[in-house]
Amino acid sequence: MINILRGFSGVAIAAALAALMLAPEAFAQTSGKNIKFIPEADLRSLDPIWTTAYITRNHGYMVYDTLFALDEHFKPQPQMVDHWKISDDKLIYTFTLRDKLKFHDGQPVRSADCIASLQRWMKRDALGQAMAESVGEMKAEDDSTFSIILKKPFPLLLEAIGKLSSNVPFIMPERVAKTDAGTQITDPTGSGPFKFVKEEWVPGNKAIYVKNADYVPRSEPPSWASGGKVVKVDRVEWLYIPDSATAAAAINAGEVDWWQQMPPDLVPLLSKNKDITIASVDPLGSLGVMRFNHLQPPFNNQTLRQAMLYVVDQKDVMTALGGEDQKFWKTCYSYFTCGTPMSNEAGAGPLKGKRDLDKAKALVKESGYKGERIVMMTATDQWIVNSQAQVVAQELREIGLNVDLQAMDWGTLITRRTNKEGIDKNGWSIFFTWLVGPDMINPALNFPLRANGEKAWFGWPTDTKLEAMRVQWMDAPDLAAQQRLAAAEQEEAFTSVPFVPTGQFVIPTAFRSNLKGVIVAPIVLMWNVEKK
Amino acid sequence: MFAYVIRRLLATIPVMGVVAIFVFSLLYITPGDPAAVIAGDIATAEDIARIHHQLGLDEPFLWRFGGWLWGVLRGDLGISIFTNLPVAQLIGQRLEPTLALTTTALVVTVIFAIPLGVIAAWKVGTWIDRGVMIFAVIGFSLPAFVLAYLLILAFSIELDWLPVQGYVSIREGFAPFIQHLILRVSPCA
Repeated sequence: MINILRGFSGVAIAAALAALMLAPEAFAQTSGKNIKFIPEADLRSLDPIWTTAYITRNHGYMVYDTLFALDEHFKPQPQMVDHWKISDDKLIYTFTLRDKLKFHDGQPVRSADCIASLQRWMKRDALGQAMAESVGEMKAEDDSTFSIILKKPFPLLLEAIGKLSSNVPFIMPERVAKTDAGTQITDPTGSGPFKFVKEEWVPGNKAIYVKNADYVPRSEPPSWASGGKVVKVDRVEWLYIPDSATAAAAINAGEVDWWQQMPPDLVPLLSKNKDITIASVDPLGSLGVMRFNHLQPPFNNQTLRQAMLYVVDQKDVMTALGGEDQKFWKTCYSYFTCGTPMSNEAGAGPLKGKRDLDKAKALVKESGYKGERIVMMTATDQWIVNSQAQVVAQELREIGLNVDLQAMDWGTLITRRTNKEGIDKNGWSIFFTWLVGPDMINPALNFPLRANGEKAWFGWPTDTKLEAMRVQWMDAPDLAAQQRLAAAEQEEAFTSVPFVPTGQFVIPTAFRSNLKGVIVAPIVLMWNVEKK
Repeated sequence: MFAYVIRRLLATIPVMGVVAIFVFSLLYITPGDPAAVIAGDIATAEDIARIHHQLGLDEPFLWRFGGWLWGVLRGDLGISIFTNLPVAQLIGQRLEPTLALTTTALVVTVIFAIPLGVIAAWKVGTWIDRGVMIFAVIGFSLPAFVLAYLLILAFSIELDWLPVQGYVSIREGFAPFIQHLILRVSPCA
């Protein structure tokens, strides 16, 4: 028996040693024409119209193209469109597509595909729904020209069809776009710079994209989602590695080329490796959000919400989230992403000034708060959420609020926040989250600012004045008018306090130093990137 | 003997039935809502409700359980509500790495554990016996993930002998298959 075991173990050890000696470097380096990328999340759904998940939006940018796309100056630029004209009364938009646009199955991109795609998008997206109220008809003049005929002017039309973040109006084949908007598509055929290799997709593990050799990029240099989408690699592998330590080890060892979002506390570790570049390639970053339940006490009381503006210290919150080094965060005393045309500090005095605990306590007393329990939800598996909650919970306790900080996982939090009931029925008072900069740049896109009661985003604030101001903004004729209206809307927001912005931050990205051409943009884009 | 085997097999049917009901019930007991996860963070409550309805998540428990059970009995495991792919396909994708990992871990355990145990018994009271005991205590005291990190640090980062992550099928070569398994198997074994 022992001899058998000895023999067996001997064979096993010999095999292992042989394996070790064979091609020892084969796995340490990725191939020159392939990029291995660790995305922010696991790709589960392939339908960027059906879900708002950012990972699916990122997938969309790989395989689809858009009619227009936003550049770094927030201007919509033609992408699939070659030229367009707008009637003098601004009611008819006519678009002509570029030549040689083809889907991955070889079929040409036609007007009918664009119309069907926009129709499906308008059913799901909030800005699309607003646009739909103005649209009378969309008509194909021929296979490469189509018109959008409006019932009333919609000044944001080009911005809408060039929308940067979820839901992006990606153009799909008509047969796919005719899928009911409430049903996921199963066919990922697009006309974008990459093709999705569905046969190699392993949810929970990897998603594979290959270069679309038939894609004809524009000639302009890339600028955010616009310009030339020149693919310089053959293959991109998205490897989902949920454990940060493993991801750090993988990029350290050269097994992956690019880690999209790394926790800031690992920056010192990876900084020691001269072959790794740690940077912020997201000019807008994300904004922290402290959201109240406006339907239930105590935060159904506006005065109590106003008190929070004097207590929450963005510097404290951001330091907990991003560390002492302000390279990855900044304060932002605006309801609109700082660094964008609509951001301003109108009405921000209470939040911006030094913490005024006396004023906060006075407002708490004025609100009639009697020590009711405040259920603050935090997700311990989301460091961005948990950092905010830990700091703010303590800040609220300093002014005598009875905070019950309840820890859970993110999946539970996003389930529980749908509950409109009181805390005695598993409800909640406060939760934290974060939203990417593009989703908060103006009143049309800033969905947490919506105050249409029970139809609003979780928290369900009601403020008819805020809603009216949003509509006014969307009808504004020019940038100056938009900025004026945005400032007025913000003043109102700092009065009714639908949420408290807790600061602006970027999540560092890490890539091997031989990776060149990473586009600085608010979303991750993989064209223009090559390995030297 | 044959009758015994048949009796034992028949006895598993009610056991599997109870397990099925219990596991299916966990979906209702445990927190979390797949519709909320699918919809994304910026979805509204209406979006989530729509997905609930579309996926049949708002149907009564018995109806859903019955539908699922009927599918299982016909070999139809249904479609994943997250990925829209057949569940059988998703399980199939994971079957080979799971079998490779568990089989290899089992083989390694048997190869090392049994001889070590025999040797310790043979040399009871000696430094060999104590050494084996210390090794065993460290093995079951140290959390597997800690051991995994240490092994990655040593063999992947410092020595660059083995890969940090990933799985390579044995069809793509025995050497890369074993190379990718070693660090995964070691903490398990």
